[in-house]
Amino acid sequence: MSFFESVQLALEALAASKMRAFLTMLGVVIGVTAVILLVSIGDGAKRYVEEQFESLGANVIILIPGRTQTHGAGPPMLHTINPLTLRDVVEMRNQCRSVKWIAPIFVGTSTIKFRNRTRGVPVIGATREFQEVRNLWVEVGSFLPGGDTFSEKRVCVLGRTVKTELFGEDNPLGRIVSIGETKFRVVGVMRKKGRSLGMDLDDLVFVPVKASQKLFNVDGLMEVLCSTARHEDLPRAQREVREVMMRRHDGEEDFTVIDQGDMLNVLGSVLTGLTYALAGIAGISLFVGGIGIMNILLVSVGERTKEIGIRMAVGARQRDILRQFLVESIVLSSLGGLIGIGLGGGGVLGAKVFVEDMPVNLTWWTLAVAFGFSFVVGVFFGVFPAMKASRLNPIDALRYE
Amino acid sequence: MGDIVDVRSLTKTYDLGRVRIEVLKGITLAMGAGEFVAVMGPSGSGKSTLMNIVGCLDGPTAGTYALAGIRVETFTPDQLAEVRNKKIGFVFQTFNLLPRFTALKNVELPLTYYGMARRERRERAFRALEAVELGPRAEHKPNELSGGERQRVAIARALVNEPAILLADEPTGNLDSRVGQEIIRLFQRLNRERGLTIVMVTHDRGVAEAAGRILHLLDGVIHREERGSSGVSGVDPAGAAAPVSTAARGGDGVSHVDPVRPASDIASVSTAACKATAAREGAA
Repeated sequence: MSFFESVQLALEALAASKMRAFLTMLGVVIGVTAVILLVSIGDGAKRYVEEQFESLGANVIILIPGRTQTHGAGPPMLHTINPLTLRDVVEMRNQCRSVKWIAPIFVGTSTIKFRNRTRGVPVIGATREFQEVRNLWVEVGSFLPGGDTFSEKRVCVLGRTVKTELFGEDNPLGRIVSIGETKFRVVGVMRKKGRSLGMDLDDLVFVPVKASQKLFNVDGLMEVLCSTARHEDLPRAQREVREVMMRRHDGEEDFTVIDQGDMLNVLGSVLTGLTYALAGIAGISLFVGGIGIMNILLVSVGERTKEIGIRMAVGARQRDILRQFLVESIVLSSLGGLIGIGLGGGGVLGAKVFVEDMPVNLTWWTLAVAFGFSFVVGVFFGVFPAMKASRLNPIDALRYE
Repeated sequence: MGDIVDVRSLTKTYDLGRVRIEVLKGITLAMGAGEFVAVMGPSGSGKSTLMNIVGCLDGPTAGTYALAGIRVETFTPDQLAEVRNKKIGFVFQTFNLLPRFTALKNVELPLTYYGMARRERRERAFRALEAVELGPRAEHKPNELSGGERQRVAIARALVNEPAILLADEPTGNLDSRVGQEIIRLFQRLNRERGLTIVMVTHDRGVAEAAGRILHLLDGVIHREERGSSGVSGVDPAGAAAPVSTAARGGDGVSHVDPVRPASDIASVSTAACKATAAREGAA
């Protein structure tokens, strides 16, 4: 009997009791659907995070003050003995050959006021290089000054949201706004960027880093971002930054160098782990579905004992009977798998269509694995009933009523 | 040419834990090609067990069994399955057709396990159905057929592999006597025309008479042997193991004189099936 015929035979047998076949399949259908949905959501979340990171500039290493072992960019420790200073930045720029862009950053929160409108905003002290490193660009006017002579000029660049809130449709360039108690002249407006990793990148105000230090009355920096031209240069850049800083801080490592890629990898592996955990939970229902298949097959073997006896009498070998029931089990579970793929895949595509920005990602790989699992469930849970059928004694089976 | 069935000192014992039941206690039996043998005996005499062993559904406890020259007593279940598939055709009291399948598919079944291509299978199955005059019923399912038709489908299934031997276990037991006679006449015809070797278990004396040779089993041994009223076809019965069939031929000239006419005691119920047989032979 050819493979095709075995499958056809199995389909005929299942068609003889459609309701039962359907209910038996349901467990696998639900399992496969759940696996596909959850893996797609988990995968989508991971991709979303990765994309957000990449949109904030690639090949970035982050230098923060303080000795931290964690990968998270913790809160700045302003009271560290050796803060990061702009002199450190100049030194790094001179000595770190692999670093292409270097951007000192200080972040504080203040209020910005224009005429009678006031808004609380994060104020970012930065330099021109910030644009390159973080991939945030000015749209109208110009960005902050750059270079080694850190300007104290009181100019600012507004995020989209800030501009709209304070100026509406008016042109803000050249206008004077108050940040805190200090007057700043607006020189540019940022291009719209949207939200990223829980932060509204349009609701920011940029001022020269030195101006921000004055504004918040600090000497140190919150962090220094360094980016390289090529991804391969990152390890060397990291080494160079560390060397320079060690020298500058008298051999004491009271700073931390973080590879943004490492952060991303850690986050990615957490999300991947989460995805697998979700898939595993969904897989339990696949397993339960398999038990349902085994149960029904055992019933079926009992009911069809006579048929088995007849087949054996006319020459079916044990392996023929084994194959018949195993194929039936596999057809049952695979059919459930296919329906599950239809429902799960349809669900994911539907979510994409109906829920905007839903971070779901459906891959062929997910579908293939989900289907593969349903197939394996069929084999695994079909073997026992099929063996039981194949080992029947033909005489007893024939006599069975 | 050797015997189709060569059973020597065959015993079968069932071990039921505390009790051991000796069902067959040393049976020696030889059947030549083309013989038609009936096996009679009260229930518990061991006839079913003997049939199961001859039919390779079961193995003996001791003794030897050669089927068409193949020693099968030590075969594994799968090897026995292959022997059943290629050498043996079964006809049962309860027909044992697969209810979901059409007559044609039922007849195809043994060929399926033979590993034959689908088209050839269908052709051969259809020819087998035509041989039992059920060609027009090929696409009917068992529940759309009468008892006699079902049994004829079963016979077609038994014959489709061109087996060395046909084993019939109470083939008329579930049929009324008229239909039963038709089936028996079909057996006789197949035996005569094709030289088909047939072993038939029955408790019906009238049915057994149709065979050329009747074995009486009692308490696990062949208690008595007699000749039936029907002759065996022109096969060399000279084998020492088949003395009764020789006698049967000598004593019953009817089948040689007129092979179309059935044995005397069946003649009274001779009906359509008989005419059909005659017509078929006339055409051939």
